[in-house]
Amino acid sequence: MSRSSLAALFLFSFPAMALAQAEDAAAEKQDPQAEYNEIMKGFQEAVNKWREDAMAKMREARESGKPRPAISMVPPIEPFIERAQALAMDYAGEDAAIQFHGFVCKYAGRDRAAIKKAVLTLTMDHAESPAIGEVLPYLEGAARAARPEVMDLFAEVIEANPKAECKAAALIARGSLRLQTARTAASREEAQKDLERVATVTQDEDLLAEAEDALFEIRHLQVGCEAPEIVAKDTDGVEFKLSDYRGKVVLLDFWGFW
Amino acid sequence: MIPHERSLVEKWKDRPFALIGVNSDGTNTADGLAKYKEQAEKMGVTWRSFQNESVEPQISDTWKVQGWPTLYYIDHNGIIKHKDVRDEAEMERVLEEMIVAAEKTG
Repeated sequence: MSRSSLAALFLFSFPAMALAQAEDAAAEKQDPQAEYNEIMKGFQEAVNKWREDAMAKMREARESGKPRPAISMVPPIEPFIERAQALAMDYAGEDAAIQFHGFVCKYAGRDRAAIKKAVLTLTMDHAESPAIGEVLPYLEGAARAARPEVMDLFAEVIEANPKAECKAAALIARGSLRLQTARTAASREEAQKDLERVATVTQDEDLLAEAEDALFEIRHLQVGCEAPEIVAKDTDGVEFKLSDYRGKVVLLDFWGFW
Repeated sequence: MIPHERSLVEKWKDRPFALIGVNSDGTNTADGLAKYKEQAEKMGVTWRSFQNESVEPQISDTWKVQGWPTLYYIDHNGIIKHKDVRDEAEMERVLEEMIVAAEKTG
């Protein structure tokens, strides 16, 4: 079972509250999902308002011919991060805490300390939980702030989580992260190994498809690979193939006017 | 972007080089196609483009395109030689090198 280090801490500091929670958690607490949805809703509203205010200020300046105003590039997210952190503490050690840590990982942006702490807690308390899978896709962004911690979490889930889908999701997340930042053939090989391992741990079709998708990039879209064939219509409606141009150098340009 | 591309097509018109676009302007609809043709005429787009949305999955999905424009440099044997070269001078340098190699074997 998961180690509840934070839950234990909580017990020491607030024995009465913690006891009540232990006795009848459902009755004492609001539904954690509802609390999560509430944070999300408030967060989205705040970000939207921040964006609209910024746009309005810019418009106003433009219309009155004033210089471009100074606008904060960071939306007002702190209160929501703090609320998520508090709820993660309230539910420390329980699966319900996972989504609150996930929220922090996804949105804390420049707050490296907050992200690090959330990732470490996920590793210590939740790496073996069958509910960890839902936050693994959020961690690609968190890796910008806390890459070693995120890599440790992936390794722990792959190693210790009893649920095949969680192992597979962690392999995909780690493989994708490695692929994204791969600068050498050796690091691409590491990514490839992770992604190929997915098929050895799960039969889940969605996860397998996701792994295959990432593998396609490694196997077929790298410098040195034969370009994948394209067969499609041109803008005159005439079907043609990329390989029709063998013998010529092709600059293939994904573009649009928009 | 487009004026430079036009100059490349012009510069290498007698050599083994082709600029092939994968256009993502939604040309699979009549409206999108009409707009494309109008713009192509106006901007002097003379080269051929696949219609990105005319196949399923879309070409840009198969090729994992994350942002536009994305460039792949494919040699005369169909091998990807470079990606993500954006600087105009550097583009011309690597393409010239590839064209010379194509001419040697051609």
